Amino acid sequence: MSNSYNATTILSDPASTVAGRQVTLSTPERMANGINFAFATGNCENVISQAFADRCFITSASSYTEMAEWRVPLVSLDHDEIEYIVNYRTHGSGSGCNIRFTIDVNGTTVTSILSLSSTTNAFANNNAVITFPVGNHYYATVTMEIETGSGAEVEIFSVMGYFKRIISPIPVGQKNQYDASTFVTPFGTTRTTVNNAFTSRFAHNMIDDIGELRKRFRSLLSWSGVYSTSSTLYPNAEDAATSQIYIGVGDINSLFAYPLLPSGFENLSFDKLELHVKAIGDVDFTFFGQSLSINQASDTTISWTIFDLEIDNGELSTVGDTRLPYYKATFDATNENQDNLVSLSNARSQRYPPASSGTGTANTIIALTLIGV
Amino acid sequence: MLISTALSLLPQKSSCNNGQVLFGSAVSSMSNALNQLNYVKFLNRTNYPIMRSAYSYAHIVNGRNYMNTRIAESDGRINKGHTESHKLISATRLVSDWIGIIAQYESGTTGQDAGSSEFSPVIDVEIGLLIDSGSGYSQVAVVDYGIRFNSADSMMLTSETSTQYSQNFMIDSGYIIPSAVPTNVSPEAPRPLYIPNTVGSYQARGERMVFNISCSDCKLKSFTTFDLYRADLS
Repeated sequence: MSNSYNATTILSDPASTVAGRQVTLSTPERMANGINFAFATGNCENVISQAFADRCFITSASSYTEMAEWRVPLVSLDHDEIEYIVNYRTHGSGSGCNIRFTIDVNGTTVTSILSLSSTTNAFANNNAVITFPVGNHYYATVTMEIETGSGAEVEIFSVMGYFKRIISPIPVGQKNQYDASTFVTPFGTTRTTVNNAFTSRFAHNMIDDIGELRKRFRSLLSWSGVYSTSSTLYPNAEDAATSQIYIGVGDINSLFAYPLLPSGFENLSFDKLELHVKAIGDVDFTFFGQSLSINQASDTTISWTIFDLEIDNGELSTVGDTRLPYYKATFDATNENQDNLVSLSNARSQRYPPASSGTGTANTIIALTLIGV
Repeated sequence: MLISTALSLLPQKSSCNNGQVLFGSAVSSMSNALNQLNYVKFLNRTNYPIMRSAYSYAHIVNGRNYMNTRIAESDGRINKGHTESHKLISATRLVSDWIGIIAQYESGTTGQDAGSSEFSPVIDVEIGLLIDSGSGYSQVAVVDYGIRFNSADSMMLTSETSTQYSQNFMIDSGYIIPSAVPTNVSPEAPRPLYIPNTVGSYQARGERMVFNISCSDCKLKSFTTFDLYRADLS
């Protein structure tokens, strides 16, 4: 019995099992194939997507230095391999340049090194396989560090990361998506190719599986400030010294994501839309119609805060050109954001890192990720 | 068959217990919900914010030029003749084919602004196939020679000079799927982009694609791709 899938036969006809129609094997066969396909491949797409222009992401760091950090949703506790692909070039001697990505799931970490050797525009990639710690997990934190050799500098143009899909067939046994106590049960497709009885077990597993897969998160927006840029080869003020570190009032209405909120979304009884925010100190801000507050131990405390966003159905979709109810989620043009996000009248005098109190670096957002089902 | 976008209620599991008379509608409901997963929820999406230098020429006079943040939605500082290019990577699905795009950009002045030439913004978008043959990814083929946005497609200008701020605008490919797969060999008028199952001897769908984006007289601010939803599939 093989938990296989085939991308060409995942469309099952809902009209083939209604009154007056003879039920044949093709619909259950395609349902079994489709559920395996959905579990193995659903959301094996970008969980990190960020690009950089104007030499704003360039570094001459001589040892591994943290440059950026993202939150990423997991696909499932069986999708354990993440691949990072970076578009980059080196400057100067071009030697000894590496990126180190570290993925952290509740304290369990795996690093992967990308060696950067090209002095022209090129791609670098590497994978990491993580053994998930015991327990329930639905997100990871990915940190990017860079080191360069003597006389060399690294310029980053874009970064992406994704979890690899499970190649058909899915290994035997029940699978955990995020919760160690609930399961997705892949289907043995060889048992659905004949006109055998439609069993109670088939229906129970199918209903459970669909319910679990509806909970699978997707990355809708991944943004990190670029923390430790430096360059001696490009000393102009508009280059390395002025990377964006903090969310500012200019991000209102211009840094956005498109959550999909179809009919029935509001009736789902689990976390559906989460905003993960990395901040220094306390920040009150408004995002997607909701006033949110980060309260930390001190104004130099740096940590991630998770907000479970409620849906405001009064919001109107602004991207109807995709024919689906995608909504625009962004920092709203509110007084709260104008007052509290970094601006001309609320400037920071220092770059992070390190964190410093008061108007040095405190009370700022330095990374955020929006994930939704 | 029609693909419902809604997250419909699933059948009661007890209605499928042994000994129950199972009606076809229960199976139909499961099938419908499964199609919603594979053809709505899990449609591929990629959303790239494009960070730019936060340096501000406009605020040198008040010492606010090193802000390390965005103080306006516009980045300003654009000059006539500005060019840039981007390579943005997307991990596609095995069933990805037609892809819609939405991009945010910023351009320069109209001919009505004294002392400045009229800008002619152009954005070209092409898809390339990335394959890792053991020594890292490289583009091995063009998947779709793509589309061109320009003033004829409503790319907009602003009253902006090299030191001022203005605003961002949006462009999109639309969602009308052409009746035939594209055969152009240079960028054509905006339409959804297409990924065939194979390109030459390479499998394309399900692989890593690079969106090669070239901009002139404008700056790209964000780039989003969507696998296009189709209400009727067979």
